[in-house]
Amino acid sequence: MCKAAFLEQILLDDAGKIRPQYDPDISAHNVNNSGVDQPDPPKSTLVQAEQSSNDGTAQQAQEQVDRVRDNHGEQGQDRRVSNPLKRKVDQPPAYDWFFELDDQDIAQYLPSQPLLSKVADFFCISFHHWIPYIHKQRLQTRVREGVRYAGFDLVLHALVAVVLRHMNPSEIFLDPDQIRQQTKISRMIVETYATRDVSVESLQALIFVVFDHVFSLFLDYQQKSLTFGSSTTASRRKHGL
Amino acid sequence: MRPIRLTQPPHDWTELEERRRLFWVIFLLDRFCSISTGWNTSLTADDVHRRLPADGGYFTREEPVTTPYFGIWNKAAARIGRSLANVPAQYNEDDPSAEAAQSMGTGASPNSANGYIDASKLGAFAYCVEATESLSQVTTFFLQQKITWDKEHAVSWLTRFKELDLRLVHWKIFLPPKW
Repeated sequence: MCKAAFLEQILLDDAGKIRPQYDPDISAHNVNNSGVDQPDPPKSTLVQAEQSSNDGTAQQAQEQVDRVRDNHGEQGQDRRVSNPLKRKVDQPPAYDWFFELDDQDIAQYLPSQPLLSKVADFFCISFHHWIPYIHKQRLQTRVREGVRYAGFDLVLHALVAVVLRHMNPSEIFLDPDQIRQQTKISRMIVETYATRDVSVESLQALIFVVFDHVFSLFLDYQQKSLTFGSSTTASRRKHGL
Repeated sequence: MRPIRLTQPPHDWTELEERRRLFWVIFLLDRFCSISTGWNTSLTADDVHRRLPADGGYFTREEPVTTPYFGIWNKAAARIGRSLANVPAQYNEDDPSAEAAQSMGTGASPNSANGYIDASKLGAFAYCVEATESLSQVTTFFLQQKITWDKEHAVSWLTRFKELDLRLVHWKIFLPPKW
């Protein structure tokens, strides 16, 4: 989830206004009143905090009240907000085009040329021996020379969809949100466009995504087997993967 | 009458080998899914007549070589109770389509003229295909051959068990020392 949107969920209510407990004007006023009108924090905890304000300084009481409200605010972070003014965090920027029909230039959704070169190199080093179906040098040469046509763009999207999330974020200068976003977009493009046109490249792209999916399921199954107890054979197999 | 052609013929041997490897990756995925789930395979003997992939070194250096066709069992011929001597050999050079040879292009190597099957150009990928097919046969045998313990069925079942075991031992013995 984007950090800004995460903060919005804590600080803003459904109407898009600042929650009273975080509004400095309102919270200062409420410290001196009873906590009956404040819905968010648990009453008993808040009442305790306010009672302590009678014993200590106003500043200490304010800090305690703020801590209680902050803790309660963190519990509310799982609530899903439906306010249309708020940032939509889980939808990729290309969400709308997914429902449009043809004539999308999928090349515009590819990452930059230098990043594509790194992805291709990483594929050749770390993935190719598992799925040796593309000529490595020809792939790297085509990426370096910037060869672009619809079929090869699909193959590149497939490489990005599978490989990008396994690369070191510091080497590709992307944060986890951006990696997730790009992976999602590229996977959607391959799943949508690879079945429309029958060509060698579309099959190459589709098979790579299928390979990733099948082996993710297999590894999940292996992990679950280990969680529920398994033979030593299964665990030797896991380490050998 | 000819089957419809969806792609252009390959320009050279490397492109042909890429397409061949793509097919064998799909084959491996099909066998893997069948083994994992216990379901039937999708690619059967009737669908498959392809040369095995060449060793990775030849592929990387773009050096054309000829590899043998891979003999996949026909389920009817390999039914329990029938000897495995009747199923296709592991390697064969029967090419039912002369057009397949013509479509290979200028960079492709010709078929073997005297029928000698040369398996020396095979590499890890080809042996992985063979091992996966053996695993699929064994899994199918255990999953789909119902055992009724009358004498005739028990003898057939045990005979098939021994034949499969012998084929695996035979395959392993004839693997190149490198593998």
